[in-house]
Amino acid sequence: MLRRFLNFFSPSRLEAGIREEIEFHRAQSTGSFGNAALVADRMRDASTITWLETCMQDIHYGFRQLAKSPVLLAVAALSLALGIGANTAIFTLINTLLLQLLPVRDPASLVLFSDGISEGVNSGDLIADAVSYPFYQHLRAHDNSFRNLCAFRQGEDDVAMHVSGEPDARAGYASVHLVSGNYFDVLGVHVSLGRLLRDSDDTPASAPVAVISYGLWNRRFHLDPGVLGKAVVLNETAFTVVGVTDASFFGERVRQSPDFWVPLSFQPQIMTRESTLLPAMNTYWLNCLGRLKPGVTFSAAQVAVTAQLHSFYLAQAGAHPTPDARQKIERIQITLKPGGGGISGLRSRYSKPLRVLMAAVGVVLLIACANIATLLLARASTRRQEFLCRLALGAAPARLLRQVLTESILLALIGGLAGTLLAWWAVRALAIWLKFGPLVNVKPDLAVLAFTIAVSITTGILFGIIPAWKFSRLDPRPGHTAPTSWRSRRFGGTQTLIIVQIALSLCLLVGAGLLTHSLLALEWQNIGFTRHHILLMRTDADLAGYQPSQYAALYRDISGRLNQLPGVQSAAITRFSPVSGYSSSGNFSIEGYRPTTGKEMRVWDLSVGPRFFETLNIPLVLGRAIEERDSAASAPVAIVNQSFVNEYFAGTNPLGQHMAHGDPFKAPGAAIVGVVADSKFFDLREKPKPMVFYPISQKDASSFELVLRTIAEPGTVAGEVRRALKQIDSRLPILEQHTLKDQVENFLLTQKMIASLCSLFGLLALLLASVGIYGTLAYSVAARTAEIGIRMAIGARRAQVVSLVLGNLVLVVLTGLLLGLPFAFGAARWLESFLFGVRPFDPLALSGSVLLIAGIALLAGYLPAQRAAKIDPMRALRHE
Amino acid sequence: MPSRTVREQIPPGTLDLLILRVLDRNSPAHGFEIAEAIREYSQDILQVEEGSLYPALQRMLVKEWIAGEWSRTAENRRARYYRLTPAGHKQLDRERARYHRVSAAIARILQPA
Repeated sequence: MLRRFLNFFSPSRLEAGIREEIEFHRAQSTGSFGNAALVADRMRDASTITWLETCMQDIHYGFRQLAKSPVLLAVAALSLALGIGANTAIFTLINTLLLQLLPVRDPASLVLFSDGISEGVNSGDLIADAVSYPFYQHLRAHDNSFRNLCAFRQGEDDVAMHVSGEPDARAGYASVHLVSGNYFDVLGVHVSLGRLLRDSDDTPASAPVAVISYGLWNRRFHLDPGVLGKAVVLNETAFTVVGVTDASFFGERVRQSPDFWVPLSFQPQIMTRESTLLPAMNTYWLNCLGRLKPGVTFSAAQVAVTAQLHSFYLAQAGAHPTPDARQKIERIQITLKPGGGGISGLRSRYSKPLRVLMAAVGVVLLIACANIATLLLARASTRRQEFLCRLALGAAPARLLRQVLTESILLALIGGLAGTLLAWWAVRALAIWLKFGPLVNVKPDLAVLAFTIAVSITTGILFGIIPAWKFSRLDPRPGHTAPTSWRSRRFGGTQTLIIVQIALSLCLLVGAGLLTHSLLALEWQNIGFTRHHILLMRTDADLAGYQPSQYAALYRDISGRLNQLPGVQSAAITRFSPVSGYSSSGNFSIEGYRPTTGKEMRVWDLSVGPRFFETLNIPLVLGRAIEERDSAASAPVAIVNQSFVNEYFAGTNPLGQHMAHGDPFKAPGAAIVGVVADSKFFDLREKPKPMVFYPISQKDASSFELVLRTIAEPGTVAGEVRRALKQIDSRLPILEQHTLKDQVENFLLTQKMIASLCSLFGLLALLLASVGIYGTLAYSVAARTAEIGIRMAIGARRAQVVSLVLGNLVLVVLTGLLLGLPFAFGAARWLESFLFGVRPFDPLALSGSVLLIAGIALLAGYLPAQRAAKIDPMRALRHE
Repeated sequence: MPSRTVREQIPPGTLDLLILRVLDRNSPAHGFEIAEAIREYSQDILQVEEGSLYPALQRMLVKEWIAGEWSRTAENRRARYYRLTPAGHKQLDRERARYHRVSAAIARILQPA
C-alpha cells in the first residue's frame, strides 16, 4: 500500500522507471516487443492508486472543459454564489438572533415569565407582562414548581454616578439594573473578581452593595483589582463594589450590558422619580426568571403560577370582590416562555422578517439551481458530437457519467467557495446596516459553513445528474446523431426548467413589489407632524440635581432660551418625542360619561410644553394649545386629539368637559381646552391612537426631550443648542441627540430591509432566469447553425429565422407566468401582515412584475435570435 | 527428429508462481532474465509475454513480495534487478502448495476408473 502511495505522488519517477525498463527489455530481446504503450499502461495501472489517478484525470479534464466556456463558468458560479451566499448570510443571522443562548450556566432550562420587550413601570392595570414586588415575595414563599426563582426590573435606570473620593466636576452617569439577591445565582454567572450578589444583600437592612460589569471595570477602572471595596455614589447613595461579572455576561436582555447590578431593596434610592415600589400592590415592574423543578412541565408550572396570581390578587380585592374586579383578575394568564435566549428586542423585531427573507433566499437558491441545470443542459447539445465520438471509441458510459459529475461538482465547489466569501461579507454588511450593535462581529459559524457546503454538493449532484443521465442514454449508432431542434421537443428538460424559473421569479417579484409599495406608502403617508429639520435632545433634571419643585422654572428657562437662538425657528419641551419607542397610557374616565359596556377607556398621554404643536406643525382644530399660563398654580387642563373626540365625543363639543386618569372619575380632573389634528406618535402602521396632552409644568417630568425646528439642517444647530443648555446649567446632561427624520427612518428600518432585500433578490433572480434563456437559445443557435444556413440559402427570410429560433419561447414564458400566479398569490397572502396601505392582490405590483418578466425574458430570447438571422449562409454551411 | 516445439499458454493464475520460483533459483535477476529463465526451465514450452510479465512484476513489487533495485549489467547498461523478499518466500510456498493441491485433484479425476 505504501508503495502505491509513493508511486502516486512521484509519477515522473515511476514513468521514467517504466520507460527505461521497457527500453532495456526491447534492446535485449531480439523478437518483437509488442505494444509498448499498452504494456506501459498496464504497468502503470498495477503500480499506482488507480482510482485516485482517474479522479485526478477527471478533475483536470473538468477544469479544462470549464475553462473552455468561461461565460458559463462565470454565470453558473455567480448563480451558485448568490444562492448559497444569500442563504448562508440569512441563516447566520437567524442563528445568531433567534437561536443564540445567554452566556450563563445551562441556559436551556431557564424559564421567563414574559419575553415582551416593553420596559418601564405599569401602575393600575394588571397585565401578564410584569408583576409586583409583593407578589414576587408571595410566589417565592408559596411556589412548588420552581427550583429557584429570581426577579428583576423590566429595563434599566440612568443614575448620576461618581466615585467616592473623586468628585467629578462633570456629571457622570451610569445604567443600573435592579435585581433580586439571587439573580446571579439563578442564572449561574461567573465572576471575574470578588463575589456576586447574594440574598443577604437584598434586605432593607443590608449594607448597600453593587456588582459592576466587566465593561465598566475596563473603561472606568482600567481593570484595577483595587476596585473591590470602593464606594461608588449612585444618586447620592454610596454603594460598595463587591464584585465584577464575567466578561461575556450582559444580563438577560440582549443588548449593551448595564454598568451596575443593585439589589431590589434599593429601588427607592435608584429610581428617585418613583415613590418606593416595594410595598406597592398594584404597580407592576418586575419580571421573573427561574428553573423548573425536575419533573415539572411548562404547562403545569404555568397553571400553578397563574393560580397563585389569581388567589393573591383576589385576596387583595377584599372579602367581597366585585364581579368586574374578579373577572379582570381571572382574565390574566401568565404564559411562561423559554428563557435561554433572554429578552431580545432585535429578535422580536426581526424574527418574522428574517423568516420571510429565508423563504425568499430559498426561492433564489431554487432558481439558481434550475438556472445552472438549464445552462448545462443547453451546453450539452454542443457536446453531443464529442460524447458520441467517445462512446463510439469505446468509452464506458459510466466513465463519461463520472466525468460530467466531477465537472459539475467542481463547479459547485467553486460556486460554494464564492458563496462562502459572499456570505462572510454579506453578514457583516447586514449586521452593520441593521444596527445590530454588540452583535456586529457576527461571523458565519461552522454549522452554517457545513450547511453551505452541503447545499453546494447537493446542488452539484442535482444538476450534474440531469445532463449526465441524458448523456448515458445517448446512442452512438449511426442515424441517431442529428441534433434535436428546440421545437421538436415540447416542454423538454430545458423548457421545463425555464418555466419553473419564470414562475419562481414571478413569486419573488410580486412579493418584492408588494413590500416596496408598502414601504413607499408608509414613508409617504401623512403622519400628522413634520419630520424634517427637527432636532431632538434628551436630558434629565434629576441627574443634574433638581428637585421637582424646581422643574417648572427649568422648563421655562430652557424653552425661552432656545426659542431665542438664531438658528431655531421654534422650540418646545416634551416628555418624549414621536416614534421614539416610549409610550405612556392608562385608563381614564370622563365626567358624566358612561362608556358602553365592555369598552375599555384607554388613552395615550403625553406631557408637553408651550409651542409643541407649532414646532411639529400639528394643526390646532379647536380651542387652544398649551400656553405659558398653564402652570402648577393654574387649573389643570388637557388638549386632546381628533381620534379622542371621534371616539368619545362624537358630534358634541368636547371643550369644557373634564377628564381624569383612573376609573371612576375623581373630581376635578382636567378641563379639555383644545383639540389638535391626529398624528401617529407611536406605530406608523396603525391608525392614530386617542391621545391627551397635558402641560408639562403640571406634570413634573424629570426626564424630557427638547424638540427644535431648525432653519438650516439640524446638525448645524446642535452645537449652538448644547452651548445654550450648558449656559443654563452645566450639570444638565445630554443623554441622546437625534433628528426626527432619523427616528422615523429607524422605525421603518425593518420594513426597508425586507423590501430592499426582496427586491434585490427578485431582480437578481430575474437576471439569472434571463441569462438562462439567453444561454439556452444561444447554444441552440450554435448547434443548429448548419440547419439555419440551409434554410437561409433556400430563401428563408430573417423574420422566419427569428421565429424558428424563438420557437415557443413566448409559450414557455406565458406558461411560466400562468404557473407562477397561484404561488404569487399565495406569497401575497402570507405577506399580508407586512403590508401597509396595499392589498395583497395589488394590481400595480402584479402587473408590474408580469410586464417586467415578460419584457426581459423575451428580450433575452430575442438577442440570440437576432444574431441567428444575421448568419451568413455560406459560412454556416461550411461550419461543422 | 523433434518437431518444432509447441508453445503452450501459461495457465492463468500461475504466472506469479513461476516468477517467484525463478527468482528463488536465480536471484537477483532483471525482467529479461526472468523471461528467459521461464523459457529455458520449461524447455521452451512456456513463454511469457512482456505484456504480462512487467505488470505482474509491478504488482508483486507493490505487494512487497519482491524488491527491485537499479543496477548495471555486465555490459554496463542500467537495469532493474529483482529478488525475493521473505514475504515473497512465504508467498512462493503458499502458491506452490496450492498448485500441488490442485494438480493432485485433477490427477485423481483423470485416473482410470
